[in-house]
Amino acid sequence: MKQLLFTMLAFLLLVAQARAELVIEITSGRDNPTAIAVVPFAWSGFGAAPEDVADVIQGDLMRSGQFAPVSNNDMLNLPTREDEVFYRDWRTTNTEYLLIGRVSGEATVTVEYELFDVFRQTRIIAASESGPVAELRMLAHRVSDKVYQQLTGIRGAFATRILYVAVNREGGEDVYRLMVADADGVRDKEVTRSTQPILSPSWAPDGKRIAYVSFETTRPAIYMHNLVTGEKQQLTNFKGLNGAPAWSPDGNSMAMVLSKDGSPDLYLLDLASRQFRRLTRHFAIETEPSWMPDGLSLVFTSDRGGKPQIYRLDIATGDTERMTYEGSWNARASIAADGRTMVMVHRADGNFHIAVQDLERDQLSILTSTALDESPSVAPNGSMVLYATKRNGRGILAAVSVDGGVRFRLPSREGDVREPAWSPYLD
Amino acid sequence: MLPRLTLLVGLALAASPVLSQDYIDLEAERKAAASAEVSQPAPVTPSEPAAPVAAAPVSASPAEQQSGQNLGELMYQLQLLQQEVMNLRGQVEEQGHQLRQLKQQSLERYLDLDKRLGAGAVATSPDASKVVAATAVAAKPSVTEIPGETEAYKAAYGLVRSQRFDDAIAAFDTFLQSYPDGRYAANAHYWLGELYLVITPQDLEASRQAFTLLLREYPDNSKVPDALYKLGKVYFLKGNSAKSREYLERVIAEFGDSDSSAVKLAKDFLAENF
Amino acid sequence: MKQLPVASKALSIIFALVWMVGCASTDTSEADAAAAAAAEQAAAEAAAEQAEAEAANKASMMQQAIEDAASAAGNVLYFEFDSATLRPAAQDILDAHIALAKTNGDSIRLEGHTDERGTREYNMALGERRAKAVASYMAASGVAGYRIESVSYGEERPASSGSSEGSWSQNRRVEIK
Repeated sequence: MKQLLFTMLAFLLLVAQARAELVIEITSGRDNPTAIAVVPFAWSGFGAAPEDVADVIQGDLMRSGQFAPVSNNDMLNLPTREDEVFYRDWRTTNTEYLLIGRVSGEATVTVEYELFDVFRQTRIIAASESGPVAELRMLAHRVSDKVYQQLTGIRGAFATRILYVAVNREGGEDVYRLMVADADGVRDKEVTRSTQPILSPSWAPDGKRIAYVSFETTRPAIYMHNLVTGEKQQLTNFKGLNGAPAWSPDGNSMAMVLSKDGSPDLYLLDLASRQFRRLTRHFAIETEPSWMPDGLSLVFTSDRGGKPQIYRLDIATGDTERMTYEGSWNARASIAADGRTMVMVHRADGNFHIAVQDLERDQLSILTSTALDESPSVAPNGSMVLYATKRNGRGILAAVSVDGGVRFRLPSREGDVREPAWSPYLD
Repeated sequence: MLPRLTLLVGLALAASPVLSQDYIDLEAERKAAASAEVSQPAPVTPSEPAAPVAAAPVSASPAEQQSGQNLGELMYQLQLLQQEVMNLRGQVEEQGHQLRQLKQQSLERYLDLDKRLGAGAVATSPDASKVVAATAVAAKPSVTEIPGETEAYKAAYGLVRSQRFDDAIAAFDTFLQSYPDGRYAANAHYWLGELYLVITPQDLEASRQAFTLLLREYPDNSKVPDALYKLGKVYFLKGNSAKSREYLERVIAEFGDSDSSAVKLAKDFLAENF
Repeated sequence: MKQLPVASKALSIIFALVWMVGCASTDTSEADAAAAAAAEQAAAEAAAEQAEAEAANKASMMQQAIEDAASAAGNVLYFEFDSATLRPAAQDILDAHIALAKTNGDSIRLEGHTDERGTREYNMALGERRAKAVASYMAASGVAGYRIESVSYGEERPASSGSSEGSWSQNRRVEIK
């Protein structure tokens, strides 16, 4: 009986895991993607290989939209070391680059890899990554990062993670789960769950701590959670709103929204001293703070002008400046690491889209064409924007490149997913 | 004993309706005066008529009820006012933004003009843009700088920059008398054409003559596309749209593949006025 | 009108004094005086009790009527898109609840909600603005502020799922609990 119960419990846990897991569907890539062959890596460990490293790398490169991985069936041979490479075979199939490699080890594994330029017939990378076998997928993502950087000149952001909120109807009530997964949606883990709403997850710059809002006490409160130690702490529990936590770039303070003194205003919490400093004072709504990369100013949403628009606040002087003039509804801005690109939710023709504003040229372009797009979160390398939208009545995650050329969707197998937050670089 | 006594008095006072009664009484008095005022002003927003607060049901005493309504009405008015102030702020922000944009645009136009003029003025220096130098040389091979010319030209141009337009016209006239074939003669004609347009009253005919002269005498000068565009504008102001159009289209036809800003200006002018 | 509060104030002070004297007298040894006072008090109490019972009967009927009116009005107030302005219909509903609130000391929870359009944190703030608009109206109508708790759920708890105006108008609401 006990054993049956146990297996049932285990099964339920498995089901819960499968439910939230995200599945990737690529919807649009670039016109002229680079052809790259990622040959299945040799495995010299005991038993079957724990992960198909080449498959993980292929998936990463494909999702970037910049590469067209050659199908394994089209490969004339499957080299795993340099002396097995015959450039002619790859040239005939118009492969531009070739990645081969080997995985060895047991508890600690090493991934050795080599990248070749087929047309110039030269090896351009020979390197290795090692780590615990449980992190083999992460090692594969790091290989992707290196290949991506070598071939595009931009640092890769595959070895990163995402936070999101998954909502499922279970036994007549909604169950909210805060999930963390690799950037490709795989290896999802539950951080916390509640039958009350969870929202606004935010990463600390160290990639280890997170903050979020939970209604688990039936009122909103901000919590801090250490993903490494599992330690959880309530940061605020004021009367009224406690929302939109945003970690400062130096990790020492957190901007947030509180309405304890009347209407929703921005506050700054010093995490060491636990002192609050009020940053705005207006009877309108001020919310959704997001840091400029230099940590000296914040952008935020305010409807002080009658409709929500994006403003910028200089923290030292308190000066505010309106940043958006196009459209009657702009909210939830975030600034890419280069400090030049602002991503936000923009209302056009009654629909809510993800838009990007070039802060130097003050030009706005709309990136998405679906109707209820929200919660944009920019990858640490500024290449892609992850956001939430609705498809067939269900909440899903989707991604679009900052230039609008590449798109893919990350729907969950079941239930709704929303509120994605892309982690900073993790190494 | 004493603390208990005061506590009891306090309780008795709090329990009795005295305090709220006082308050209501005062409100009721004010109400009589205020109700006329409150109900009279027109609704703040035309789309939303001030909501008539429904007659409150049962129980509450008339005075209490009215005070509630009054405060409720005030709350409502405050809400509408806040909304109105926010909307106005939004409009002020947007108009400020438009104003900044317009200022920036006109500054850019001025700087562009200044630059083009400056390019003409420094054509003598060896590092001047090759195109300007080349065309200037090709147009009037005989042109050489006459001593004192540059200073005289700069002085006249200085008057333009300090917006003393009438003085500038006199200065350029004198300049052309002294240096009729000088290096900056074409520039002086161009400036005269511009200046006759900005003085009050405008002298359209003098302006037209100055630009036409520039075109006739210096057909290869770098100022030609601008002069053509300006002639288009002058003819438009004179009411001759056919001629205006002709000149504007000439700018586009003859200089469309150059990087002259006159082309864009001509296109914009055509788009706006024809 | 003006004399009334003064009179009632005086009355309550006298009442309190009498009560205190009563208390104080038990400390003395004048038992006779105390007995007389007690008898007098008992008679007064009996009369008061009867009046009270009548009043209570009347009050309970009144109370019932107020409760009926409040439940008939419903406990959901609806709003326009991106607005926290109380519509006249909402004010009617609210007035019924205010009347009820004045008959008891119960605490009131106001839950503000929005439709799914717009960003979640902005909607959280908008839901709060709605709840607070209702709370201010109640407070202005004489319901003590400490009895009212406003909580915003933003767009997290829709009453009707679906992405059309039909659902959205059901979701832009404040629930009185």
